[in-house]
Amino acid sequence: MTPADIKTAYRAFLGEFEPVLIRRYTGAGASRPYFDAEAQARVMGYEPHEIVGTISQGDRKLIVLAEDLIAAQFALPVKKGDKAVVRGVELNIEAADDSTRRVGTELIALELQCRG
Amino acid sequence: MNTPGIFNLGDYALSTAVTGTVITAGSDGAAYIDDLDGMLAANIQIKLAYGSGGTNLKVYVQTSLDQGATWVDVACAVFTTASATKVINLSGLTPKTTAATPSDGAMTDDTALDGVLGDRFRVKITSTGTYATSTTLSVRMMAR
Repeated sequence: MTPADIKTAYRAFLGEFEPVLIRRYTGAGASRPYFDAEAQARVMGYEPHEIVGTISQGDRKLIVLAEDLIAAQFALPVKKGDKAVVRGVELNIEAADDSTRRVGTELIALELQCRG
Repeated sequence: MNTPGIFNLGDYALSTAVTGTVITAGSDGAAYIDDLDGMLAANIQIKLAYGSGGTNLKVYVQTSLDQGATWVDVACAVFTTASATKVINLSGLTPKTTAATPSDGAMTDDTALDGVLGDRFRVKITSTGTYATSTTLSVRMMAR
C-alpha cells in the first residue's frame, strides 16, 4: 500500500470528518495578522485513560489530514501556539504530533491537542 | 490552475532593519509558495499594521521562471510610518512584447511588472530604522 493509497483510505476510514481552520498569528497586539488554512479533521474528546500528563479534561484531539494543509501551502510544522478553529470557536493548540501518523517519512495526518 | 485560492506570501513582525530578507515559508520548508502552474491572475494584498518607530519598508513580490534560480520583481510596495494596505492585480495573459530587464530587490518604488507569472512566488523585504510596538507586515495572494 502506498502513502497515496493510505491517504485515500484515511478519509473513508475515519468517516466523521469536518472542516476546521488551522490558524497562525504573527506578531503581537490586536492588529496582528493571521493566516487560515482549511483542512478536514476528526474532532474527538480524550478517553478517560488518555487524560494524563499535559492532557486535561475538556481537551480535544484533532486528527487533521496533512495533505489539506500542504495544498494550502501552510508552513509546517504546526506548532504549540497555533490555533484551531472548530465550529467557529478558536482553540489553542497545546501540542502537535507529526510523528504518530506517518508512513515512513510521509506525513498522513497530524494529531493536535487543543484547549479552549 | 489546479489549486486556486488564497496563499500566504508571508507575515513578518518588524523590528531592526533588514536587507533582502525573504519572509515567505511554504509547507515543505521552502522559502516560496509553489505549484502555481497555470495561474492566470494574481490579486496581491500587502498590508502594514504600523506600531511605532522605523523609517522605510520596501516590499518586493517576486516570481521565478527558472525554478527559483532567478527571482524577478513583479511588484514593489513602499511603506513609511503609517498603516496602509496596497492591492494590485497581475495578469499572466498581458502580452509583453518589449523585453523587460528583471530586477531582484531593486524595482522602482510602488510599481509593478504585469504579464509575468511564474510557478512560484515569494516576498523579499528591506527596511530601514527600527520598527516597534507590534508593527507587522502581511502579504496575501489570491491566485486564479
